[in-house]
Amino acid sequence: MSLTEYNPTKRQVLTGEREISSLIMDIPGVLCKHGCSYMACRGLVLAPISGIFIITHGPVGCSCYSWGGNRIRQRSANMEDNYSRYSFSTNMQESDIIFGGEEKLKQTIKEAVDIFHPPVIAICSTCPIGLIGDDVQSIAQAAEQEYGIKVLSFACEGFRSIPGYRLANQGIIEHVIGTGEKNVGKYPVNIIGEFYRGQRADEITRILNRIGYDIVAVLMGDGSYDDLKTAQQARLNLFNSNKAVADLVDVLHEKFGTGWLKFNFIGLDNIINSLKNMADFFKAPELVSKTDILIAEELAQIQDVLNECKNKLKDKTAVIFEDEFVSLQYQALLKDLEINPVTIGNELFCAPGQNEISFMSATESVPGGPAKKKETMRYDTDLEHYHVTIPSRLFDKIKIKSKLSLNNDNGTYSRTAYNNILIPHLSRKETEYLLKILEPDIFFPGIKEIFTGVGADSSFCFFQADQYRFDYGGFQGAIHFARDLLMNMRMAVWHKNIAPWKIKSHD
Amino acid sequence: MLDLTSNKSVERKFLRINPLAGCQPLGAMYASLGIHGCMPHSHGTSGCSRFQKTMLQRHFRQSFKVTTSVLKESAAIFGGESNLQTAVRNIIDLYDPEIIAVHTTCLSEIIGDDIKACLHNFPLPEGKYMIHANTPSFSGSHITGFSNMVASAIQYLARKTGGPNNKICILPGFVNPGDMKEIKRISFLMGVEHILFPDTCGVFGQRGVEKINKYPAGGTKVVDIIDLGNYQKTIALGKYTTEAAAVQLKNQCGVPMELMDLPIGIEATDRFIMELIKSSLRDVPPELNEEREQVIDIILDAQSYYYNKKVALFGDPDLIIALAEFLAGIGMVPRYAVSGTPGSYFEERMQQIFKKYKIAGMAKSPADLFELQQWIKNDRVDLLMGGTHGKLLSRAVDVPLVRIGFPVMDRHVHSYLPIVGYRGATRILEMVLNAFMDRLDREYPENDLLFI
Repeated sequence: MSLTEYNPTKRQVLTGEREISSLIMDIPGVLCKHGCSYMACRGLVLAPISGIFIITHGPVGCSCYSWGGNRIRQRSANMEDNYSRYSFSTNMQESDIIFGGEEKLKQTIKEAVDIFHPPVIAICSTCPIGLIGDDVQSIAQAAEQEYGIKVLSFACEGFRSIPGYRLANQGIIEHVIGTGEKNVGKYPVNIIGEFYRGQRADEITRILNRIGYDIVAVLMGDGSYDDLKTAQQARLNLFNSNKAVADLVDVLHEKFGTGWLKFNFIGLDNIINSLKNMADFFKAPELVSKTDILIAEELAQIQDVLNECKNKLKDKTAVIFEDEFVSLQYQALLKDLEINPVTIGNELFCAPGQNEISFMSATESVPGGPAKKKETMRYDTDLEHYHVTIPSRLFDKIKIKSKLSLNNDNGTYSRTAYNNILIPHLSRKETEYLLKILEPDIFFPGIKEIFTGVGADSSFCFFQADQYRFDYGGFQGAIHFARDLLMNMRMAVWHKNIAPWKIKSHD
Repeated sequence: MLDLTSNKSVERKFLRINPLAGCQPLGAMYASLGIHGCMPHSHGTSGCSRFQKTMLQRHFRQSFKVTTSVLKESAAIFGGESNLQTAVRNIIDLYDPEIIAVHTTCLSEIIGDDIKACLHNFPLPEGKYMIHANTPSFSGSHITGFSNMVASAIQYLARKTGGPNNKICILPGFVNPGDMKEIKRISFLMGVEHILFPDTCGVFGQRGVEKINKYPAGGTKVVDIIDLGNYQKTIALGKYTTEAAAVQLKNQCGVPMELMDLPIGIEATDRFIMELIKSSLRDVPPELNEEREQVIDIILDAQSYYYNKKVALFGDPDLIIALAEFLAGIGMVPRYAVSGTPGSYFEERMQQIFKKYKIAGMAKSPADLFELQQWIKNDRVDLLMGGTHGKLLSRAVDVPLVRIGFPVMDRHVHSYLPIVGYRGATRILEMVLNAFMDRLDREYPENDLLFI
């Protein structure tokens, strides 16, 4: 046991964690981008942990789709336990569905142990298992005793409402953390969150190591099983997650007394505040001075290019129609470039499903009974008389471009965060109307919007970082982001390009 | 990379490592996209449709609309029928498709939802259609699902209303839009009036975004599918993907069927064209003659680079069968052929090909990439041909990979270019030769490196 004084810090770091109650449930028959419990359990939490041998208990499809899709990079100490490039499943057939898959699972574990000798096996159940009722947990316990290895079982059937990452994290906290010991540095920290992956993880490691922190274990990011066993030795949990796992750090605090801080590696302000908060937490003068030196050095490196980009991007208008987490990140990145974005219809502030269904046509299903019309009333926004409050900088810009009479004093429902404007509760149709008025230079559509038609008629460019394999984390991220913005704006000319023979001559 | 695979063969009956095939709903989803104005609907959890959509999206580099019933615990207890009805109502209200193609998943199959009854009771607006296919994930593979969806679309829609007309129905199987376009082009050049079903040309590869309730211009029209019952003949390309549909059409409307291999390579394309000649009033046009001669010319010119080279093929059975025949026919050795789709026809047919060309080949289905890797470790090959999943294997055993078939998730453009027909044969030859020659360029000693 150790004693540390804990001071809450005032520097703001924007992260994306949310309450579980705000999780939006999908409505049947409406385009959705949500996954399932299995997807999150296996793909988000377990897959990046090196050394875990994951068996998908179910038909072969789920294991095929979840094989190698995520951009994860396992860091295993010894290559003998690197199973990340493999996909294992029990390949259930029709007869197993009828007669039960328990025997098959037992045999599969036996074969896995015979062929690969893994130190730890995790069994992820898929939909059929929950319905046919295989007792996976007792098989896991029996196998644990028989082969003398750790066997974890996760009941993450796809139809479960409880998110898979919660199941997986619970399992790891209960059964894994605290079972090992290792030598840790003077300032041991844990990293919790799916932001610690791939290239960005390398960059985070480089910066934290330069200041003198020791990363003990990583949960939900690229980590290893052996490290996770010793996660209780860290004194600080760095937390940033887009998922509803904010209570995870509280649980760790209760169980091991580990302090926690919000940590964000996107956007210069976020990075600087995060690093300073960390130095404050440990109350070590050497950390504070090293942090200051590092920040100054890194900023000096990017200053020239950043200024150049800022000049090029001056007076541009951006509109974001992303979900809450991505839009928070874009807001931070755009702020570095001194662009004020307009954020529309942020899911965080919308009632469930409102983004998808604009009017009162949505129906909600009642289990076991006939479908009912949704009873809540919602009025369409009267755009002709709608008041938008816009910061004066942005106000002038938009006013020049459009003839919309924006009244600065009569603002009604809008909120400023990071000096941008947020217009909640707009339906798709209304958004499109607003986009026509605002005429942004760049538009950030959400994953859903790119193919469901928001702004389809407009000539501005769409920003799609999903299709492009770069990550905007770290000090260099701001520059990469600026370059991508410029690239997108340049390529945007092709969006509306039509063949010359299709243009009617006016002679 | 895949270092843990030993070359010792191990007794393995239950553990499936590095699978080669997806599950049925994936194929069903692709088949439904080949119908014009169709909304594929996945009657399962939200994860199912997300998984399968992601894979198709990565292959075709294009987003498309798919809806789901979002089944949760309550559906597992009370049944998912109310979810389905809600979903259908919402789909019609919001996206206004011409036809909704519902496919099931393992969850809804085990619950035992009676989709047919549920859809039957649903008051559908005039001019809208609804079909469904049973696609349980725990049997077959995405190929089976594709076959099931095409067959049940015919079952739901095709009607015999008059005497046979002079048109031909071509069932192209699980191939890329580029291949479908090439099949259509060949049939057009032959002067055969035809309909391709399903037809994904013009469904993928559209610039920009679409309106929420607009659908791509491509796809087989519903009226054409209904009219299939009056057709003169069905040409089914690929036993695994199209036989069920062709038999369905034969039993239902008495349309005679001809089951063939996919027209990949010279012999298979010859057979396809000979079949078309029977319904054509024209001779084979000079364009096709020219293309055929070009392929043969390339084969003769480049012989020394590929002759007697050993290839390992993996992927969907229809593709592998046709590809193996082509490659064996030009003097390459299809040493291994594996497929993830269950069914005994694959091995039988492959043995025929091995026998015909006197090749000591090995064929197995269902098999997985782990097994293939073990085989290759024991007896090396010179080339791998298959989907993206072979990427790791390619690096692990240091053998070049030619990306062909489904899924190819790490390359652009490929789905718009054909591998069927004579042009497709040219393209396959180009890919194979490039793979060999790039490797030679890399490995030759410096003083051997020439410009010729």
